[in-house]
Amino acid sequence: MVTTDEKGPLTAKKKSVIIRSCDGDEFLVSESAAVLSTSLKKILEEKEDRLIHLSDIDNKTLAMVIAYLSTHADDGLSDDLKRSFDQEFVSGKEFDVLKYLVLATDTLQVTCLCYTVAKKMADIMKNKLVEWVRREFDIQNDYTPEAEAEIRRLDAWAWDDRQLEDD
Amino acid sequence: MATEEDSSSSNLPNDIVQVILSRLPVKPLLRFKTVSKSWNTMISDIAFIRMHLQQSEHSDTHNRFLHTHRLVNPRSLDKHISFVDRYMLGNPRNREIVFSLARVESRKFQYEEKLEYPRGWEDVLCTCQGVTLLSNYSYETYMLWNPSTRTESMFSFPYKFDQKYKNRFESYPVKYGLCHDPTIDDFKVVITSEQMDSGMDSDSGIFVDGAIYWVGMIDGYYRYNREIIYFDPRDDDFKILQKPPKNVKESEEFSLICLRGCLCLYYYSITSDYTMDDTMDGIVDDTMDTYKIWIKEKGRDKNSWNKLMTIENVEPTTVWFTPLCLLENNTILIRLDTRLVVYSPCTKTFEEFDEENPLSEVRLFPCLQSLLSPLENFRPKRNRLRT
Repeated sequence: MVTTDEKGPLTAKKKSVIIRSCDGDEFLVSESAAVLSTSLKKILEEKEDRLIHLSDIDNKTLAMVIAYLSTHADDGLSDDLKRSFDQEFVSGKEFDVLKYLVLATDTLQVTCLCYTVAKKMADIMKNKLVEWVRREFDIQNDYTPEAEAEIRRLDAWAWDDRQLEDD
Repeated sequence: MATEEDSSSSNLPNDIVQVILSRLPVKPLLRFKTVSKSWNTMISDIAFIRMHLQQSEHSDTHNRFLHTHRLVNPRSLDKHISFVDRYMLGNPRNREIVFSLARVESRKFQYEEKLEYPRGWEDVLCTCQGVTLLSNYSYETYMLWNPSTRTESMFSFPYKFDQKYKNRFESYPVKYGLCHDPTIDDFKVVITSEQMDSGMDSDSGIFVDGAIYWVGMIDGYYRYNREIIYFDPRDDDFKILQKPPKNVKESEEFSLICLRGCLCLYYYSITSDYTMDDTMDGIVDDTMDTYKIWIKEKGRDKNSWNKLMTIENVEPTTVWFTPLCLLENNTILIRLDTRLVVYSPCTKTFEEFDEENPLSEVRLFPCLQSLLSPLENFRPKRNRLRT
């Protein structure tokens, strides 16, 4: 039976798990890092499986999540350092990349990363045009032009921003 | 042909979309109501509104203020009228309050646009979850206003005021409180005409954790005692909250404030926590004043207090000491008269904040990003404070 960190960092570090992405790449991850994901922790508790296959996370996204988990499992780093790592981690990333990341954090149940990524996505979105949002979220406009204009009229003041972006 | 499922949902599951949207300011959210019908429904839903509010309370955006600046018409500056007459009782046409929203960001106020509305409102009485209670100059007509969504609803005081309470400058002040009651999904406005005192300069109750708190004077055997009184919307009753333990040398007077979503109490302290070494090293000047801030554990029914901060080296000439918000690195933004300063408890020093914009005739009220809309229907109900 595998348990979590109570055994102390030494024993925890020694143990590791292999996580395989949907495109077949394998990553060796310390158990102390893996258990920061609630779903991985559950899998490890249920069976002594050292190889976990994730069928819906690609290797690029998985590599990023694992980098995050490993940093947060490092007891040698202060909370401040971890916080600045988080900021660095999401900065400069494309909206598309963040979308895959936020989906992966949902599958793996890594709540703090999910919130960090969601915040970054909101920061990118806040000055975007509605058309941009529809494109990025793959949403069909189901309003009639009149109905859309009516909704727009209700909060007309919110539309006076001159610097709304479309890219 | 897209099925209904395809057209209404994105490639991200709905709960993740909500997590992302709940981190947006109100303005883009209002625009994004036009993305699709399902987004409009989601953004208007009370569950989402609460989720968004919770984010506002716990993120950096809680360092946002409603900034009110009183402009005085130069023609009204008659030398024969006293200060009080001119500012408090003068002709309402001679004064005007300008509202703007300001965020604390990188040691400066970043002003969002000036708010053209509302006009003709005389006093900001209190705030709760991003909604503000305003009154006209006669304190008979009130307005609930959400500056983030720019929605409002007006109402009049439902009962006849006793004449002696009518003008709050002539008798015991009337105190106000505003809370949002999630069980009825509506606001409750509390107006008291008893001897309540919520601080050095304000009559407004502090809304924290679903209750409204004031400093109240309770009739004791020999004299009035200052107590924390709160209004609990669950049973519409007034109760007394236990104060933090106090040193006999510490001032009887105290004020309340909400910092980082918790109720805080602060007061002037005669004694300080500094040691002889500090004085010898010149870190603490013992001719200066000290203030102490306590923080209450989160949760309406909890009342354990912890020391939050001791603020030393405050100029003894300071009249108006008001903590405003906690900032990064354990520092705090404080209003000292018309100046804003950032105090660092580690170095016990002050740093000027936004020197270009002095605060004369300026008042600052916490103002969360909030989608809560003041509803139109008020059902007045009278309650008595029993002590």
